[in-house]
Amino acid sequence: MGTVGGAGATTVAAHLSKALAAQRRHTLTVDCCTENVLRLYFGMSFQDGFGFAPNLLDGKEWHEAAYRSSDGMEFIPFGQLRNDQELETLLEKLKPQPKWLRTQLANLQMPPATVVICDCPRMPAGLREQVIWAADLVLMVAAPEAVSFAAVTHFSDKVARLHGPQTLVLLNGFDPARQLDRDIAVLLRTEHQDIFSPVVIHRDESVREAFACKKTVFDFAPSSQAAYDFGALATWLLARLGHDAKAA
Amino acid sequence: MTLPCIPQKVFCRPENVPLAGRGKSVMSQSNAQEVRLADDDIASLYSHFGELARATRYHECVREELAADAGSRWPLLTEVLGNRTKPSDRES
Repeated sequence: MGTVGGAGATTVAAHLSKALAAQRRHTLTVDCCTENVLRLYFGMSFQDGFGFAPNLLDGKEWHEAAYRSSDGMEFIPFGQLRNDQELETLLEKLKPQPKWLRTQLANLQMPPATVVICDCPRMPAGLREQVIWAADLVLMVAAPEAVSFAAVTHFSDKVARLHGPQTLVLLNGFDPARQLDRDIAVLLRTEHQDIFSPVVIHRDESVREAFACKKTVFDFAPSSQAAYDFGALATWLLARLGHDAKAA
Repeated sequence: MTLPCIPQKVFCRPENVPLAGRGKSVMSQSNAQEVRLADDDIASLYSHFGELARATRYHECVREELAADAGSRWPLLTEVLGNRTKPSDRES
């Protein structure tokens, strides 16, 4: 989940899935964001609006929207809703079932130790809460920006009051050559050390370029800094979650 | 409350510092008491010093100086931290 818009949560979700798969982990990636962008990392056509949200509105099973990409990655896109009214209808449908996603994921037949990665939206709250109820670990993606730092600070105080899933902050797009980036990293490490990920994702042009080619950096620039960072993130998260991890 | 710094000399006795992750205990040449490794490096380090040094009193001097410098450069970041809920307020 992004602390602010554009923090890179979708990018992190896609790359984390690929990095875990590279470490021979079976993964299922679920997009719960209305923007419906995650699917593009898996090679889905931009014009294809198929996904679990339209399925639910049509009274079909949500998991019938599952895909397997050419490189064997399993994912469920959100799908393209035609208008705001459809989103409202979907939220009304889910409102009485706050643990709907958790239940549905538990009912899926997946290999043991499958890691489920959900791209969690900040808004609407109805979708965000579905993911948080289903999660063992929430990764808050922060950009090295003052507004993101403010959001993390606000959020960490909230986490301390609530008893939700384990929550960690990941700094994404960090450029050590920039003074503000370095300072924000130091402040995050000092002020929020209990929730700050020791792995940061460095700013890397190959991430943007890879997405423009509908690829991840693992395919586009496997020797890049970002590819190394995402691999390290996957390793660290697996260690953090343990071997019986079900969702991230 | 600002916690006191740990004297630098504590860190100048590498033979007493257990290295977490090696999978075995590290013994001091001068002290035959075995030190149990813990997941937390700092807790392991402090296990040598008994009541005189508790892991909760560990204090990152350099990091906090860097943080103070970082905050002083950016007024908005200082303002954000200034409005932060204090831990004592959170518990209540």
